Amino acid sequence: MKKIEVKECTFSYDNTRNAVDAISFSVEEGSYTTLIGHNGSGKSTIAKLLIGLLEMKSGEIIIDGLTLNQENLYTIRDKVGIVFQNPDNQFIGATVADDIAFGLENHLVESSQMNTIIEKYAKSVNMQDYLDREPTRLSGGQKQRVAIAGVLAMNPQILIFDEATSMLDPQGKAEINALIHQLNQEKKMTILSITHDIEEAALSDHVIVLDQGHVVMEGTPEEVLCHEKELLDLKLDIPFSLKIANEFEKQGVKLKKKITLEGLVNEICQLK
Amino acid sequence: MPIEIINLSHEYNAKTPLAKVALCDINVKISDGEMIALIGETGSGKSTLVQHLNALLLPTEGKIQIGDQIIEANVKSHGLKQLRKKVGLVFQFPEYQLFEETILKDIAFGPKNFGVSAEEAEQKAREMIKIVGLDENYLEKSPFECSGGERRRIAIAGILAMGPDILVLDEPTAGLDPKGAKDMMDLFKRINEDFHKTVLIVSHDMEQVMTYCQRVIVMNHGKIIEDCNVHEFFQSSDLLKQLHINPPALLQFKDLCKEKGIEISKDALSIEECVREILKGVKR
Ligand SMILES: Nc1ncnc2c1ncn2[C@@H]1O[C@H](COP(=O)(O)OP(=O)(O)OP(=O)(O)O)[C@@H](O)[C@H]1O
Ligand SMILES: Nc1ncnc2c1ncn2[C@@H]1O[C@H](COP(=O)(O)OP(=O)(O)OP(=O)(O)O)[C@@H](O)[C@H]1O
Ligand SMILES: [Mg+2]
Ligand SMILES: [Mg+2]
Repeated sequence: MKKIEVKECTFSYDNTRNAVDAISFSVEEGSYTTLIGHNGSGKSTIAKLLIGLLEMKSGEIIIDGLTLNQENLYTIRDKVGIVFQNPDNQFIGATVADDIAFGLENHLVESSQMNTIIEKYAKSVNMQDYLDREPTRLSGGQKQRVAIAGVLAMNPQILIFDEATSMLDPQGKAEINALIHQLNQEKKMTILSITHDIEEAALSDHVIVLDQGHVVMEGTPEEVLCHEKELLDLKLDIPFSLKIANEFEKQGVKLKKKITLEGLVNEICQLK
Repeated sequence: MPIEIINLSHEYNAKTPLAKVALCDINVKISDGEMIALIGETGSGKSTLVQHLNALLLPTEGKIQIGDQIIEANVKSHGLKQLRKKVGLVFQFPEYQLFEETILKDIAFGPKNFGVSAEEAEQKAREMIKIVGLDENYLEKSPFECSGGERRRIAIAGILAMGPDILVLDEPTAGLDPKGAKDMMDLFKRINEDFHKTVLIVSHDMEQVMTYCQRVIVMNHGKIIEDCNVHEFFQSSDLLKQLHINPPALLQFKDLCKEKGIEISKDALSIEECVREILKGVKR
């Protein structure tokens, strides 16, 4: 079933150029979909269109079977949790705890349960020691963690990450990615992740590639991420394992294309 | 202009209930023309430290000497404007740095502020916008009408336009597309090599650290816990594990190979060399 459907959607900030130009794509329920594309290709604009923060010029967006319009706006926003590209745009509460609680109040959570939930989600991103701190006076990575906790606490059906882990240290990023994969697997949460991290895209179910407001490629990571020339022309990159496979080919040995290092090393073992 | 940091500590909101020690007894010397990576986990104090280098934050203990300028805790400093011309700092969040109504004015602000004529400053802006990979027709746009990666590029252009002797970059490629990130790192490398400028880069990207920097400084809980040559650093896998640092992909690949009984020598530090060694082993 399609959880998000975007049909011929167009948006312009200034009426001279379309930042999003007659775009169509869909996101399957329970999938982990990544959206990649060069700077300015329209990724964040799409994210904002999906939650009705920007109003499209033409086209249609259907989320969980509901057409996005004035009437359905708040029903849809209850289903979708979004972490913005700049966490400072996300903070509402005066403390980290308030900030995580904010979404909960909207969801009519009893106050007796509130603290348990706040602690649980703060802990899930390793920020349990910062509950009394001001979210705006944290380090870059700490801000991103708090922004993520606030959205996860709302337990949305659909989670949109707009480069939400771009400033985390490698281990922190791996931990959050594991958490998101777990929510995706166990709770069947639908994930749409906007990222410049090709290795993250390689681990997703479905990859959508944008170029100047258009969808130019789409498919499984295996289908999409092998196209070295196209991806480089689009200012993107290929997974590291393919770079190695390409070097093997250069040195006269053709390997089956694998998009993870583990897969690649297994192929290399077959050579013996 | 060499940099020397001596017994530096920084406490945010000192003497309030929200007091927080972010740096504790930091000692570092940086020579002219070095290209250094500053790494460390979330909240370890990297951004706090680099903001001291152009006196945006002042030490609460200890001092910093940059050229002949000394910034000392509890002592009023003079000549900070001169210092800020010499040390260009690109913030972790570009939004903190952009404020003019057009990108042209924003990039031209630095040079103009430091005494360059308006015309020259605009000329500089036209030059810089292209260098960071944006089209000249962006100049009349507002920096706030730009995407995240575009803002990052504008913030970098604004600092480059001042022609600083020391370039301090706080996660300069976060949010850039892969080509943008590579072009930007190549640019910093050129500035370092061709113009002998000192470059200090805060990064979480170990690939970048390994490829572009010679020296790596590792922070943890407000302290410097390692300061060494990049290659030595990545060779010591026990140290990396202890510091919770995921090694660069090439080294992860070598480790995976090793687990499966495929040996690759420590000296093989490029994809090409690794593949050559693997194939040699297979043919034998
Ligand atoms: N508020 C705005 N006003 C006018 N133009 C805008 C505004 N925000 C973005 N744009 C333009 O719209 C285009 C798409 O921007 P968007 O933020 O969607 O890009 P993106 O794919 O998210 O890029 P990035 O990877 O840099 O975050 C860009 O060319 C940008 O300059
Ligand atoms: N304005 C502030 N007021 C109070 N504490 C702060 C402030 N800014 C940062 N801190 C705290 O100081 C410590 C160091 O923060 P800093 O921003 O230097 O970390 P960082 O190494 O740059 O981390 P990141 O990789 O997440 O950007 C953190 O614990 C943070 O919470
Ligand atoms: Mg964006
Ligand atoms: Mg920082």
